[in-house]
Amino acid sequence: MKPIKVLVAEDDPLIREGLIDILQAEGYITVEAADGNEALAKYKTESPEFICLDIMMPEQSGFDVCRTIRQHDPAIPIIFVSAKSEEIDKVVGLELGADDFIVKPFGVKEVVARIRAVTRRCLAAHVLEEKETPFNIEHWTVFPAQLRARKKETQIELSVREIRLLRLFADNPDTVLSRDAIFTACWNESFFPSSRTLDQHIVKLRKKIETDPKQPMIIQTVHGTGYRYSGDV
Amino acid sequence: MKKKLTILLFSILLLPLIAIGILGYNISTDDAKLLSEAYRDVAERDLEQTESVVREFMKSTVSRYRTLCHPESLDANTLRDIPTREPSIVQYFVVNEEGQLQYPVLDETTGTEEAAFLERTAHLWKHRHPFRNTQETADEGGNRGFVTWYHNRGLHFIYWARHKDDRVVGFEVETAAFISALIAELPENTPINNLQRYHKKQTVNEQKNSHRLVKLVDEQDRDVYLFGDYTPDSKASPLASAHLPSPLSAWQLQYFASMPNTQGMWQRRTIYIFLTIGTLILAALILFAYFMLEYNRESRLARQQTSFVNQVSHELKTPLTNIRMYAELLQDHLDEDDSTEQRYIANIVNESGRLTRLIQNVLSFARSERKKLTLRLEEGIVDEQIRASMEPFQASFDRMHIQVETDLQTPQTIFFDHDILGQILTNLFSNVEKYAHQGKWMRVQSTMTEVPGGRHQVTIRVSDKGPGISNKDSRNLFLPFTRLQNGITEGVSGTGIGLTISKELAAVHGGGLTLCRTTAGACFQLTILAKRKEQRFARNPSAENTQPPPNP
Amino acid sequence: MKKCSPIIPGIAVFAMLLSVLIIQPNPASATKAQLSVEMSTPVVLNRSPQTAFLKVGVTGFALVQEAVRPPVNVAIVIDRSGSMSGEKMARAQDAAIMAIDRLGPDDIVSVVAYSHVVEVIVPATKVDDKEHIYQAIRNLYASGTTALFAGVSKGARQVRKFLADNRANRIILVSDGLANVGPSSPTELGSLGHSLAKEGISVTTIGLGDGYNEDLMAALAGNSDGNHAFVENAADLATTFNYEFGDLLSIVARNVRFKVQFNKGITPIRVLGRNARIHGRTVTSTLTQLYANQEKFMLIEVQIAPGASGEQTQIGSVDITYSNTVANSTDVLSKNVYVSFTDNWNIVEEHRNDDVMVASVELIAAEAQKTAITLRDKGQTREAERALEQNAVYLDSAGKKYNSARLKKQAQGNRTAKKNLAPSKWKRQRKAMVDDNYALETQQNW
Repeated sequence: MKPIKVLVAEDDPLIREGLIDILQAEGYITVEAADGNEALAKYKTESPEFICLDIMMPEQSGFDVCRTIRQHDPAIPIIFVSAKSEEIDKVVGLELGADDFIVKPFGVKEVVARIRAVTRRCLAAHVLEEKETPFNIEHWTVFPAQLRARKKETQIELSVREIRLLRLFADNPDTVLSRDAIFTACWNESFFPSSRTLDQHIVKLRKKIETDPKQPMIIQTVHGTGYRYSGDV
Repeated sequence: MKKKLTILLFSILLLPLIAIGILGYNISTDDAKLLSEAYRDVAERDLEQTESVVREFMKSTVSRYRTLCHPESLDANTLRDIPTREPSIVQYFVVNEEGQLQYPVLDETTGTEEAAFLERTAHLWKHRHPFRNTQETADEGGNRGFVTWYHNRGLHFIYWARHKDDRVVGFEVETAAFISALIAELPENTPINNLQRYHKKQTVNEQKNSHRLVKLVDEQDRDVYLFGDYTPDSKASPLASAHLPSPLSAWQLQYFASMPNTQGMWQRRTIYIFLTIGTLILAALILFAYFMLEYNRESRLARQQTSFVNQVSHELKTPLTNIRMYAELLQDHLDEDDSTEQRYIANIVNESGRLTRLIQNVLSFARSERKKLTLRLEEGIVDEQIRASMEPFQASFDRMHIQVETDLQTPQTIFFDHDILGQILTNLFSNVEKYAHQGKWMRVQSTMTEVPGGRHQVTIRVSDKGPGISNKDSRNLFLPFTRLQNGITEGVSGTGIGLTISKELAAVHGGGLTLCRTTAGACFQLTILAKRKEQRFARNPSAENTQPPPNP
Repeated sequence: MKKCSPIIPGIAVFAMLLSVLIIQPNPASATKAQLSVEMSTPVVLNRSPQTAFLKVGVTGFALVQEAVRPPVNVAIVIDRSGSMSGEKMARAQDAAIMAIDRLGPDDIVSVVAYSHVVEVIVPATKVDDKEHIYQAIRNLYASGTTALFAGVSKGARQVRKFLADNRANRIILVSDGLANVGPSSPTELGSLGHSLAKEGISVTTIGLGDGYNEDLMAALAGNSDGNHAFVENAADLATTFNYEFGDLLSIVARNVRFKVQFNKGITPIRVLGRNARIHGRTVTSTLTQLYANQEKFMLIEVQIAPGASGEQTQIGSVDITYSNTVANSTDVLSKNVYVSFTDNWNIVEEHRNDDVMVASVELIAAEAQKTAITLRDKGQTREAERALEQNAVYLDSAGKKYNSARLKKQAQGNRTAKKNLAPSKWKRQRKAMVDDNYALETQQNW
């Protein structure tokens, strides 16, 4: 699955960093901007596929940035992130063509849910490659375009990264995949998280797909090397 | 609204003031009229003295002129000689019985002065006979009088008298000498102060000039002579005026005066009247200004408070976001088995959630104060919203061993404002958590009934078995900043606006929040009006609609 | 006042010297005025009508003692309008006080000040308490506008109080500004002067600075046989007052009446320089007063019909009556006028009276100069320039012919005037010309 580039424009560095962490954990590539002017510049040079815009920013407000970007690209998904929770702001933001509105203070889950929703709604069909058709891993059927997977009546939500991980495992059954290999396939070359980061992703993924996460059956740990999907459980 | 109030207040103040002002003005102008008439009388009497001087002058002048009209001889030499000695005469003339000019006539002895006289008076002899139809300028049955005319912009006049033989003898008067003599007779100004001593020795006929000015003005209203020590405005009109007798009947004496002594009284009265009115107006204005100031101060204070609350709340949001976000991120990263750490982190997350709700309430309150609340309807399921709102409390309820019973009967997809409903529910659950946890029980019920107009009323009840709310307290329950004083709430944090906001929000949503009668504990009943109709902000249908998940 | 005190004694000394000169005894004149009758050409060509000038002059006899001079009845009328403030007013006060100081206890003085209103500062009174009068004059201050006509009228009123044939009745007007209240035209003030003269009151007008109306001031003085002076600098006021009082204190005759009766064949055409009346062959004129040792004359231009050659013919007679203020009598002077006819031009030239010729040329040139002034007034500067040049040429040639330095000097004066027609210089130049012409026409010797 092709990585999705997200522009995060937010003047508070901690919030910006946190959002970037969340997005990267979800499997997005991030570009950051600290004010309205930088946001527009980055939009032009980096060509992101998705934008998170703070409203109250120095130089130019998020509304102004949104207005300018909309003149170039009416389709690019934009999520406003703001402390301005008043109705009027939501109205203005949405009328300007924002796709969603995250109100501070927000929870990680809310952000993830909204980003996934927007990705699903606006991006999946365009960015995902041809081969990103539903596939099976164990009893799960994964729908990349929906960032979801199903097993009988159970439906789970997945991140872009998780889908890439599942795809990697599904494509390489019974193969021990080294952490480096997994990184290379599912993370960007430029970004190498610690092995712990990978392990945590695997833990989270196991929580979602394994019947008993303590006794993983689908993604097994190969100590000292990496992980393996045994296709014949 | 504010502008209206200002106008209202202002007109309430202004109208009586205008009335008083008009009344005062009328009184003072009536007075002014009376007094100015009285003063006019004084002026006229004063001017009368000057007029009598003029009359005396005219009388003696005319009598001298009459004598001059009867020279010892009417032959040309005499008539030529007399004017060389007599200051008043420019030129004699004689008109014979037939009305023909007998002297001067143009012949070889005619002098230049005579020729000039004939030219100056040509029209007098040509166009009319000046000594027949001039009853108005002649006295004693038209036997003598003045004739005036203008030549080369200068005033000229002749005096004539009819002799017994019916000849008319007259002369052109030296105008400058006449005017000069008149001026000489009129009073002049007395010189200033320390010379008075010197003047006492003299017999001076000057009148005392007491703040007045008398003007002799010509037919074009130009000053000819002035006396008096008053300097009127250039636009001032005279208090009194009188025309001069013939031949200067177009000239006037004008009397100007300041308003001293007799007028001082009037001025003082006017001053008192206007002072009183002025004081009233001033007092009213001060009162008005005070009210305006007070009103403005209050509204400004309120605005400031609101905007302060807004600002602080917004400022709080950023650090709160960071606390919450990083706590949650940390939660994600912690191993499941680090139970103590997980618990601590959970506490941070829960508390930041609570802080979030508090801020939300404060902001909602500030907004509702400004009456800016609007409804944003979105498609959804009420029961799901109830579950979602309850979710953050789950851990806390578990810890407090609060048993939660649900009886949710509203699974239909309808349009409602998710934020508003969520906020109200959060407030209600939060109240249970804070005040009714010792009851260890909470029940949430939801039902939906159809109401006329194709709309649906959703009713949600939240009951607990806590200490309940006394009748006395229930009266003030929904007022802002009310916190129950029954001892139970002591030590529990709260803003005291949760229920107020919830009630208002419910009202915005077409419903209400009431306290139900129960035997034990408290029970709140929330109703909202849900609409089927598509609203303008419902353009955000969920993903399920565009791409429904495959039904297994 | 203090700062001017050094001037006063100086001027007083000068004035005393002057009066000594004037009072030089002249045994020939005795106590009667002298009448002179001179023809410009006592011998005329006997061809068709000839033009000649008849000069009729009368010279005041010398005053033997100042004590016998007629008492003065003078009103000093001072313009105290705003423009007079400061130096001008101070100098006018000095001059008036200094002049009054020369008067004796039988003299009568009054002081009138005018702005828009008129104040009689000192009503007509005998000069017996000078300090009171000076105090009153010193109290004058300047402000307001200029009611000149009224000021003169009020001055006249004061003079009238003691008007007598044997007094030197006079108004002295000092003004620096344009009359703007009351009658203010030269014609009106001229008429006033004329009527005052008939009452025996002369008005001397002293124009101060360059802001007054010289035509008005000259008309007022001229028609009343007063003096006129242009005082450019206030500091010269004292000198002017001294001259004026010098005249005033040397009056020997008043109410001088001229009557010139011409015979048949002689036609008077015009009178140069003075107001006179011509009725047929009769010319009459009056002179309000005659000063000691001063000649006043009039020039009558006459046309003479041809007569018989070689024959001396009487062409007319001159009669003068006047009040002798010294002898308190009415004197009559008579002379006949004769001409001889010739057919030889050289004889005419031989008998020519150059003094009369020069006087005629002077007055004719003065008329021409007035024409130039009128042209300049109309803005026709170039025409005025030409007129002045022509006048200068005329005066030069006449000066050469009659060998007259006066005429040559006058020619020079016209050439100077020509250079001063520019707006910046004209105001002053015009006043100087009016003043000069006035002196010329009225034989004012200062």
